[in-house]
Amino acid sequence: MTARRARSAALLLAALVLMPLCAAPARAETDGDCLYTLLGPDGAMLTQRGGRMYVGDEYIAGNDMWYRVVSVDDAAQTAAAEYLGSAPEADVPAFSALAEGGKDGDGKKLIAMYSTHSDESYVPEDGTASKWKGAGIYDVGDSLKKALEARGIEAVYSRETFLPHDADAYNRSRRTAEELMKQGPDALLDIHRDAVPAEQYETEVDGEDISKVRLFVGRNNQNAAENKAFARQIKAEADRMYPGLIKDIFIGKGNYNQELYPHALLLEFGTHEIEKEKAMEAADYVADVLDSVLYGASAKAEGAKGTRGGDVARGIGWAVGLAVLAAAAYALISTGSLKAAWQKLGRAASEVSGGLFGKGRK
Amino acid sequence: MTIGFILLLVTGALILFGAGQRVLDRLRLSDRAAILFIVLIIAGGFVPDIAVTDRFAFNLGGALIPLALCAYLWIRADTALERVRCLVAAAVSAVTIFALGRALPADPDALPIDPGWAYGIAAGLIAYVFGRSRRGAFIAGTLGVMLSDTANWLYARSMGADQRLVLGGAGGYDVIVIAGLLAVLLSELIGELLERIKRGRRKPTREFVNGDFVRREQP
Repeated sequence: MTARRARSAALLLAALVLMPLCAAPARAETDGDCLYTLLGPDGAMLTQRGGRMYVGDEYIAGNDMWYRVVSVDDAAQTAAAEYLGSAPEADVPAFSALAEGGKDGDGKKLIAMYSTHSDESYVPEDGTASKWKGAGIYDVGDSLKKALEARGIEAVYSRETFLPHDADAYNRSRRTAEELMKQGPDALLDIHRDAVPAEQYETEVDGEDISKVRLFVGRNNQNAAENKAFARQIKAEADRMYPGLIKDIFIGKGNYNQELYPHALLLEFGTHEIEKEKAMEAADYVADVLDSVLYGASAKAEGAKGTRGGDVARGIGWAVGLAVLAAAAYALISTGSLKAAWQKLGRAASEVSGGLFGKGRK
Repeated sequence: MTIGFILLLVTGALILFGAGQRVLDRLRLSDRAAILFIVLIIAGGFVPDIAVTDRFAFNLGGALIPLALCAYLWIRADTALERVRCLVAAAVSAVTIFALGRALPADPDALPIDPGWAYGIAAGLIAYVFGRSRRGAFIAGTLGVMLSDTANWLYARSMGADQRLVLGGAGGYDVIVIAGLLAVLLSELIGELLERIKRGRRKPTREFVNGDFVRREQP
């Protein structure tokens, strides 16, 4: 072995050995350290979130008032929102033909679930907000699974963990989400808990003290319109069946693996400070709502199970538009002129489509 | 699965196919080979994960095909030095990606871009610094994520978590594939930008044909 090769091999080995030493604790947002407050146009608090807020985030409050974040003060951890009006009603299929064709004819009822933040726990029962083994969030997921099964719905809840609770957690859980997606579930749910003060999640439904549930939609994906419509359907039905159960809908920056599936949704069952029992009891009511929205006999339920044509068109337009924009930007940056960029795009289109589109190299 | 779902999923797959084919085409692969690899990556993603042990598995499209492509590119490297550079870039990328995963904010919305994209950009930069090579960039991106994933799995297990590792489990959408493709794109972009800055308004003396640079005939 030459000296140069030996040095390279030593460097490679050293890099691999040193890798675990980089494992400093990630900036976890599980214990309320990162707590942003959303303020309405009158300066009053609308809600809080255990995580950052960004300009463009949307918020549909429990009373269906609809807001959009217009400015963020990171130093004060506050965000100011403008009022957009009353949230549009959860709609029935816009393109009924597509929705009709989309009904599953096999009668199979299947809901798939997983928990990306596998350490999330409830301080009162679990003793800590974050546990690497036996985290409390799995007890809540199990409760929802049992409640769904009691209603004749097949529920698959992956107990895989995706630790640590860091920036890569969603990349790790994406693999399980993809695996679950292959089973063709009617909904793909990521079960979480929030990190805000407990009182914001405390509620009473049917005379029982339980935890509220927040629905979270990632707005940066081609399925965002469909995900948002699904969340609104669930909230509308919950408001009708069990007022006070659904806290609100937060539509935030990021994709949260929701780009994988049009009916993917993130649910926050309570907060780290609330009693886990309350979150587990809320799961029973959520199962009822999901049963009604996805498998009920109403037109609204059929709309939720099918895919709305308008949302599909928006999703496809979003994905294709972004791809074309990225390709055009890349061609422009790499060639430096509009004419050359156009020629480059033409050649690429021709090569990818076998000459059907664009202009090939002469 | 509904028609709407399928339409949305097919659109995503077609975009990945188009972008992937264009990127792999930059790796001195023929058009046909580039299409073959991207089809194998996408189709392989739909094959159930292959379990090696109870706690370790891999996906055909998300891990094995990209790994095979890495091996193919590595073997076909022009010189021994380029091969060494590829491996060093992959190791440095792995450490960087692992460190990024721990250092970046835990919530994906706290980043201007998806963490998976950040890994591809890091690998592309590292590979460019080490060898100004597109092949090196692909190897650094894919191998870097695979090694980092493995290290993270070992770390989680050492902390007592009974975690399972499924390399490339998200198939064509896995961060392994995305990071590899993005790294090549970035490396290509940096290369072309620097070359353009260097030559100014003069016409390029070389052009990229069938996956390789050829000298352009002067008129």
